[in-house]
Amino acid sequence: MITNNDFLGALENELLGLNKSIRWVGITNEDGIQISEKYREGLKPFLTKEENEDYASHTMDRHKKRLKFEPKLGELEYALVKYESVNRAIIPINRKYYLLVAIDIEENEVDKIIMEKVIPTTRKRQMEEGSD
Amino acid sequence: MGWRKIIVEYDFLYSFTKDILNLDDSIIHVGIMNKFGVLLNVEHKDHVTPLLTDEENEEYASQSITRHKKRIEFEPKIGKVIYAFGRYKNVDRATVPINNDYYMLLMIQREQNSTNRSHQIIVEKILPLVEVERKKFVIE
Repeated sequence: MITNNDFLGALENELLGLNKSIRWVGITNEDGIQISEKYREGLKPFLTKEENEDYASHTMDRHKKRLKFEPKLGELEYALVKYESVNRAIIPINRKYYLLVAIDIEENEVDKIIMEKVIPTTRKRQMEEGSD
Repeated sequence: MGWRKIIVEYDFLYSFTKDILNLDDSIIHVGIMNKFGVLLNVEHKDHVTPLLTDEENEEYASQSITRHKKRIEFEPKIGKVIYAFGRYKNVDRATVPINNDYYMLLMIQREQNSTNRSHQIIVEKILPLVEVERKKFVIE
C-alpha cells in the first residue's frame, strides 16, 4: 500500500537525496489531501504546512481539468509551474496518488531531474513495494 | 473607476502569434487568449495535424485561465507565475502570462531523446519576445 508510512518516508528521503536543488517533496491523494511531506534539511520554506496542504488541494483541482484531454495529448508525465521564486511540479504516481515537488529556481535542469531521476526512482520504489 | 478598455491591434496580434510560431520548428501551435479564456488568435504549423479540434482548444483555453487563477493565489509567497508547463506523452503544452489581461498557449513537439528542450525554447526564445512586445498589449 502506498499509504504505508515507512514506504512514504523512504521514498521522500530518497527523492530529496537525488539532487541538492530539490527543496520539498509531498504526496497527495486524488482528492487533494496531502498525506505526507518532507523538507530539505535546513530549508527555510516559502509556504507553511497549511499553505502546502492548500496548494496540494488546488493542484489536484487543476490536474482533474487536464485529464479530459489525455486521450489526445497522451498521459501527463508531469506538470510544472515556474514561479519567480521556485519551481513546483506535480507527477502522477498512479491514478490515486501524486507526487508534489518543489525545486530551487536557480536549477536549469528541472526537466532532466524529473524525467531521469524523480520519475524512475518513484517507479522503481513502487515496483519494489508492489503498490498500485 | 470606469470600465477599462483593452485594445490590441488585430494586425499586431496576428503578426505576434506568427512570430512566436516561427521562433522554433518545434513550436507547433500558438494561441493568444484574454483573461476570460477567449481565444483571440490561433496559429499552427501548416504541416502539423492539430491534436485538438477548435472546440477542444477553446475549452482548453478556458480551463487554462481557471487553472491560472488558482495558481496566482500563491504569488504573494512564491512570486509571479513565469509560465506553466505540462509534459504529456505526445506533446508539451505551456501557458505563458503576457500581462494580467492576456495569455499565450503553446504546444511544443516533444523530442524524445532531448530533455529540457521545450523549457529552453520558452526561456531563451519565447519569454524574451514577450518581454519586448508586452507593452503593445495595451490596457487603457
